[in-house]
Amino acid sequence: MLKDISTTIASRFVSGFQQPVAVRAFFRFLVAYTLIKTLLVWPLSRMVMEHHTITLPRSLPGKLLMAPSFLANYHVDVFIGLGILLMFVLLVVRQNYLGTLFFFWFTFNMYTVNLPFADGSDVVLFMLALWAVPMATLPSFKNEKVKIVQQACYNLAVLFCQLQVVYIYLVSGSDKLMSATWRSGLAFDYIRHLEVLYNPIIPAVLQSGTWNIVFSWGAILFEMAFVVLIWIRKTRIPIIIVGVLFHLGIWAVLSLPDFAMIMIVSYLIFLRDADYDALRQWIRRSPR
Amino acid sequence: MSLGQRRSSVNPLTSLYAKVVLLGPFFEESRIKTTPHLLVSFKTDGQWSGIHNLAEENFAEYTRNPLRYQKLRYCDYERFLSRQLSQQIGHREFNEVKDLRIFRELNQYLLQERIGIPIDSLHIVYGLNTYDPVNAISTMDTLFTYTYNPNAVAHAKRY
Repeated sequence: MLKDISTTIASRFVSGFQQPVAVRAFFRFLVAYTLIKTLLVWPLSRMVMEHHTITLPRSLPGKLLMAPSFLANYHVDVFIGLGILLMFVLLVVRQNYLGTLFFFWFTFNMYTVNLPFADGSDVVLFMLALWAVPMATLPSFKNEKVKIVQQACYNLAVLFCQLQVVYIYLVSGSDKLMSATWRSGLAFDYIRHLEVLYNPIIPAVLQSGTWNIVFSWGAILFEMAFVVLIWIRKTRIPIIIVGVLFHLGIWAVLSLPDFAMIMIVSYLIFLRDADYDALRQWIRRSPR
Repeated sequence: MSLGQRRSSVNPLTSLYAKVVLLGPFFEESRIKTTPHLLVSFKTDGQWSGIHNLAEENFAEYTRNPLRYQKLRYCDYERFLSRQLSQQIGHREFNEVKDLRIFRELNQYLLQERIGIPIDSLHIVYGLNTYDPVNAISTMDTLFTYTYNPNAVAHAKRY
């Protein structure tokens, strides 16, 4: 029986590229997000590189990996300009290994260049870009064995990317669950006193001790629930919708637009081709 | 030990894995209890300016106009410079820190990007504001403070 299960699982990974439309959409949105972000922080990257110096590693592989950062040390506009050109190309061509690899290379170096003002969203971005490297369907190989390896790498990368997102919630949720400050609701009292993060848009009526507990436990429950519900067919879309609202809330209250956006983009890796078909049909049916 | 707490490792590969793959936790307890502040005052034509709380000024501009998203990232950059500097210097005197690259970078940034006019002296204070929910008060713990001639400090980046 164990052999049958392992054979079924293994065959799932080598029976074609799983959810190609959804994966393509995920990658395109990831590129579009990076493009917008790069354009927005370009003046800041330029300003920082006027004062900041990136130290290169001693090893040859390290030097190769960070070669674009070395270029940015002295010609940051050239580095960003090439990155933007790359992203425009990636938005129009089909995913191929060269493109996904260059995209990861760029996001990693962008993180290095923007390290002085980077936040959690930048690390999430280049990790998603790393998992996206094998999510390419081109070039298509004629050799059957190579094709099987390519499909297995593609499907495994999708799974690992999903696990990466789930892991973020598992770590954050369990950390909050083990913290007395979060369990008691006191965490929200602290958050309200983060003078340079908390946006005072929550009305005073929602600032009581009871609401602190509601918000704290809401965050804990959502993060822990996501870890389980995202894998269940019936709860997958509802938990994604809750997640989008959760992150939009964080964006508004904690002034973290980048983090909210990258997490929302990361949800696209959980969508399926059938979801896009359903969306298309819904758009067609809706009255004009 | 929470899932997010990492063990130190001497193996660069496992260390890299722990640093980049094991993402989170975000909004840790320690991160929500304190707010870093960099306070700046400068002297020009023999007159000291008022005290500028740089993070608060950036944040106020962002909340007034959320399209000014870059202001949030200025906060991050100032926090990075101040935190790096406080970790490197401990309680050392100005003469011992003025040649540090991170100090020169902070000085150059303040002169060019934040002040933008010729000045004679600069006074900087960096501290962590901690909120006490029991007494509903915030107290600031000063990590470094310097008053010095910014023009005597070399540039951070040389081409």
